[in-house]
Amino acid sequence: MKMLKKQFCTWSLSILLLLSASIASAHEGVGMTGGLISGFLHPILGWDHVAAMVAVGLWGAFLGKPAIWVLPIVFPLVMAFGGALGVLGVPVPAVETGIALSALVLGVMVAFAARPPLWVAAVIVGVFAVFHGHAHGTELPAAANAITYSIGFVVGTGLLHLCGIGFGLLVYRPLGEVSVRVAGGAIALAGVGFLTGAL
Amino acid sequence: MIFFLKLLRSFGLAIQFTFGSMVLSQKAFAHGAIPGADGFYSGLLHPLFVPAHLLLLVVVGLFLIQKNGREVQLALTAYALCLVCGLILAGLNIGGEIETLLLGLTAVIGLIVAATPGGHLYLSVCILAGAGFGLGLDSKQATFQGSALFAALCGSGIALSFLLIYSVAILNFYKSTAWQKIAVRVLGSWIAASALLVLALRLAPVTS
Repeated sequence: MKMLKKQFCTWSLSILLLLSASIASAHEGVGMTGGLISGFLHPILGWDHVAAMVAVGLWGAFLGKPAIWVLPIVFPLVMAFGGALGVLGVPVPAVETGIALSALVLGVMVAFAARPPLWVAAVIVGVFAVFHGHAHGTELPAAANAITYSIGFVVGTGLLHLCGIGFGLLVYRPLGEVSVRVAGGAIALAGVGFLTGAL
Repeated sequence: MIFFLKLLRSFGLAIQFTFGSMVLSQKAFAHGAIPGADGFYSGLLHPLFVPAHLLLLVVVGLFLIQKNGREVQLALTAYALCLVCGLILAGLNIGGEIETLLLGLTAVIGLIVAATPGGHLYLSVCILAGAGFGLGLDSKQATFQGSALFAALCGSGIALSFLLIYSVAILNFYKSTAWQKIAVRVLGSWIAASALLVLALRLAPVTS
């Protein structure tokens, strides 16, 4: 049965990859595929977004269950709300400062091993998610397909959380907590760099 | 670390399925005839080329695997009946494109998937009935008339039925452990977030 499952996964992935290679869309940000790829890459190519989203995953792993999966659920949902505000042209003050602050604050939380109640952590993460979402919403390329862009964008964000969670789970290993807290410190320092414009 | 790997594996196929489906939708043929395809075949392919339909089918699949056997049977029956009703109304030129409503329904179902793994029988039946009716009504391809339209709608009905069964069957592999159930909820939240963003884009004032 396990063998069958593995074979099924391998075959379905291969077939999907083959079928998706029918049109060369390299360097295009347009259409369905272009929308998907540009949406997927958008959170990954911005260091400020990467730092904050990895920090969310790290903090979730640090806080343990249920924060480990509640925070990565809260973030994309509230981010979508922020994105909607951006798309609809509703102004949110100091978006870039908010994004830089998110890296700083979340990094500090991880570095100092802060363990607030779940709802406090969710509110902190949610507030910063609005800034990230707003930035993504206002920067949506006009040519991109809206649906595939949004899917790529949310999946890209979620996978960054998973990276953070993966690294954050080192806390259960000897010396792991130190490495995770050091990573939090590095993210906080990067946040300072984003705030001051050094990075 | 082991449970992270299990979680990652749980995400694997679902992400592959969703992402793969979207990548396959390379051109926007929404509600128009697919070049080179006649009425029936064009209808059969139609749900594959409309991302809003695919997204709804995936989220309904996620919703159904959180339910027990009897609830799934009743909900699928409601889906099939309402799908036929929607297709008939589409064939009679009643109603128009309701893709925005379908995206709203997708967002609601995604939020339900993310919020509660349990549920209520009537809620499941109503959701599946709404999804079936909406998908059927939105399956009309404007370029076809008469018998070609009938054939296209038959094709869409078959595709929409099989795609949902296919979606439930694939996702059903991934509901045995606690982490897989969490992965399903996280995916539900991702789909809800995507749908909310697209809804905002649809409702945004057009600027040139």
